[in-house]
Amino acid sequence: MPHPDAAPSEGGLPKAGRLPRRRRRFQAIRQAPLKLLVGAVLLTVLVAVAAAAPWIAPYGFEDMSILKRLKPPSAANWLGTDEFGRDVFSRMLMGARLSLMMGFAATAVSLVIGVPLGLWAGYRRGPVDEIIMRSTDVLLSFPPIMLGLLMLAVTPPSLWKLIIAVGIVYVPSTVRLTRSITLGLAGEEFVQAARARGEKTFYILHAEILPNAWPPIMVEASLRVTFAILLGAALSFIGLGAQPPSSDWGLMISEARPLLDRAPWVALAPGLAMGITVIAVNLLGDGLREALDPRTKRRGG
Amino acid sequence: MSDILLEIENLDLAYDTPRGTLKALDGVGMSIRAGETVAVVGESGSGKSTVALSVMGLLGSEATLSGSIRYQGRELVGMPAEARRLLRGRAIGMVFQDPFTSLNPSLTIGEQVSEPLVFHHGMDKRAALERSIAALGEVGLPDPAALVTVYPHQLSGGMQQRVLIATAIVCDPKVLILDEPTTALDVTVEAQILDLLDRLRRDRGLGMMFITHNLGVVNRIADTVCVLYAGRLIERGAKNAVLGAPAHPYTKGLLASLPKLSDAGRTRRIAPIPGRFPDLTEPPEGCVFADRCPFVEARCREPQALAAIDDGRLVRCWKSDDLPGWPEAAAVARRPGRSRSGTLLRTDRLTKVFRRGKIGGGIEWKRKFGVFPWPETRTEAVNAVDGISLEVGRGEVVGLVGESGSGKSTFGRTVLRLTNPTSGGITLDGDEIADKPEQELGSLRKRAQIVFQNPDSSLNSRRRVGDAIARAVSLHTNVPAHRRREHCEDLLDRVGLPRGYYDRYPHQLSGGEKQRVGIARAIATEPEFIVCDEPVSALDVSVQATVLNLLDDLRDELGLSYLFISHDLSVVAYIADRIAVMYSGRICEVGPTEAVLQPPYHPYTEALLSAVPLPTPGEEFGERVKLRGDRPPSASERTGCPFHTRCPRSLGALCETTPPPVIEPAPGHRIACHLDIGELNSLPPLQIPRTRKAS
Repeated sequence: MPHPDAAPSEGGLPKAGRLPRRRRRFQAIRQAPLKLLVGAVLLTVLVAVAAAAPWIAPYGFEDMSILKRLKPPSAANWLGTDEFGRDVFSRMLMGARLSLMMGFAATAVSLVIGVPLGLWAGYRRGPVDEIIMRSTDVLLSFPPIMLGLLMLAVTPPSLWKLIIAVGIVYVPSTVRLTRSITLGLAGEEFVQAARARGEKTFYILHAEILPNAWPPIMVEASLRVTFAILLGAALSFIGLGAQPPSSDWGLMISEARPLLDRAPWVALAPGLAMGITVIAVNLLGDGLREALDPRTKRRGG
Repeated sequence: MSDILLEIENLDLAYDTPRGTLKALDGVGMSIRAGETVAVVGESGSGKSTVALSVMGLLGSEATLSGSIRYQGRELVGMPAEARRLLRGRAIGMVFQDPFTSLNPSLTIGEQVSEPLVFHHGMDKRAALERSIAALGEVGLPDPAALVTVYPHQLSGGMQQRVLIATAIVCDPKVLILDEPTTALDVTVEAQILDLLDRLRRDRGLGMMFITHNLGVVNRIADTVCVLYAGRLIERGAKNAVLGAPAHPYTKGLLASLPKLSDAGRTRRIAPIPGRFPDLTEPPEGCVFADRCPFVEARCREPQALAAIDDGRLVRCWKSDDLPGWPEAAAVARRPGRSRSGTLLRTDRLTKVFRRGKIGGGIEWKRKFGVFPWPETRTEAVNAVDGISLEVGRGEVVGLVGESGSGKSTFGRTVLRLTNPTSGGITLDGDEIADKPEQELGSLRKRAQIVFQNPDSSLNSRRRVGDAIARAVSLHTNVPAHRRREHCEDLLDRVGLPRGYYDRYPHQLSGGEKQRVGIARAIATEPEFIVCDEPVSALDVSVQATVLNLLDDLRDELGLSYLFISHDLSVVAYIADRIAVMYSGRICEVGPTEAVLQPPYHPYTEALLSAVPLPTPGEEFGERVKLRGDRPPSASERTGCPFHTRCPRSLGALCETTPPPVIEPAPGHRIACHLDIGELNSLPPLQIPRTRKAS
């Protein structure tokens, strides 16, 4: 029997070194939306820039110029040029397309495969659960980069294969998360009520359980976007992802590696871009989690 | 004056919320003397737990407290946190509601009980442990010296609550605050704990603040009663006066809305308190209860003062002097169609066995697929339902009573094939359904429905109220799609909810309203049979009455049959035609309500009845039956009668080895017991004046 009067006393004991009450409350209300806002704005800018890259890039990303090889940042080339005299800034903008697509598409792949499997395993239990979970355990036992390598090494690399490979690498964690949420929800009385009126399993999974499982899955997925970008970059770096001369942050860093001592700006630019993306997505994910978590929501009424 | 241990005066408490200031307490006052038990009574939201937390200084920092709390003359409000902490446990002990979550699962009992001694008295661990063992013995735990090395999960709920009480008294506090200490426990265990508390109070001269919503418990243990409503003290006085002749309308309503064992047989409806709890961010200027009060007048809208009446009672109602009793609900005549006509549902030796990890069972090697060695935790079989044969007639309400863990909910769900039975038969209207595959259960899904206990979990929080009802309508009735919404609104209407609730989400509803939606959803398939699984247990008393009345009305209007599962005998006795008493997976007695409540009855029924705390002073069971222990039999003890491990009337070897025969003292009344009918007949009857039936 939840007492409305008991709720505010949660978090109970007076904390040491507390701030004045007014200020702490101010922070509690402001924090979650602030993260969400900054993350969302940053990410929107990134996506917009990536989408508009061909039009806002000062040079074509493939335009070589032997005369301008390895020039440091200047007014003409804001972030310098690489060993073929290509404008690093333009290549970085174009690279955003591939990298962002990589991150989001791979996460989508992991959701499309992982969520249904997790729902099914968590709801049906028994042999179905065993088979699905043991298979994902096998996948989990490989280091992610090895698993990606395994899937890509045997066939000629291409972007869509990279996306699917990275997506599959993150299927096991999606399955595990979804399954554990489903396990809890399957015992809830509203699911029992749906069974009592003779609903099919498919309906129960997508109409009763999934809407309640979405918030944690989405938050987790938004954080996974960054991992997917990083893994994609790592695989491109090894040469199994985007192929030259196309532009991808991971590929750019890979190509710039031998030049690090002579022209550090070539690697720095995509590195920074990747860092900003990771921060943006993480802020968004964190903000989402705080905004969707009923425990933090209570404060906001 | 000097023996007043704790004095609370004009206690105000406000919480800052985004919607404004919430006045959780307003002018609450009481005093507790040594050796006195003061009960603080109220429904959820009344602020009764908040009073306890204020005294303990455990309120969150967003609470603003004013007024005065004095412990032996020392002012606690505004006392520095450090000084307050030293008083906690040493001067004032507290026991929380839920024993299952109040003990730390990874510390031994000894460590937890002795911790306050080490902290407050600076005792060394060994001396502290010795004192703890003495305290554990004092609270009636067997073999306390061995107990200090075990972990909480090895103890039953009743034992855990005793450990908590031992922890609270180990530093010899003068005041003990108990926040719903028996609410999570079964009635027979509750009775044991209440006896223990009473003994401690007498032996140690403790002043106790006993917080509860259960008026029966109040009647059993309290000297003084404080009734809280919406954070206001509305009546305070001696127990017999307050419960016997309540002065404030709310107290009157609270008592009237309780189903009473003495009313069994449903000669009249229980009178509910209409309306909703006030919004405390904008409390009414006048009487907080005015909106729900049947005696309301213009003057009630003015601020009410706490005034003394004749017998020293304080009442916050200007017209309490000449108020009539709470208006009684109209008596219902038994309708002719109510008698059962034919059997609707029948179970035949139904069993359900679960396997669960054995506590302390360890790991054993098994062969997976017959080949690979595979480590598995040792499991044990739990006979949740152990050969139950029960009939539910058409239009009949069968009550299923038992303590937690007796398997009554499992039985309800197995009957509906929400879990599959291990063996045995279920027939619905002559149709065998126990082993039909799920796809062929369409008719069962339409004809049998379920209402759940927990209003929060029984509705999907992300779907509108109307959706769940509409879904049931579209699956099982031939209401055309364009009329469906109207039909669902009719259903809402039928369960007493506004039609506009169709578009609401569950969090916008109160607990009682959610429970009504659950009922609307159940009747949407136009069923004949509904399993009501503790449908009112999570509700407040005043709301419970309205839901019970609703279920009763629907049964008459729609010709429904219920399997009504509850741990509360009074509720079951109110609504059921027949009662089946379940213990540890078996039925030990079944018969018409009147017959089950009177001797001859099964010793377990007798124990249950005698343990039910009755709310009316003077109405008490002659001699309370004391049960040994509080645990159902373990797997190895399941020979003979399952009750033999606790039965006070056990015949020894016979009960331990031979399953009891079923005796039938009257047609339809069956008791499974080795005692012969003469002995069962001579069990003491329920000491309840049954005069009300005549009126």
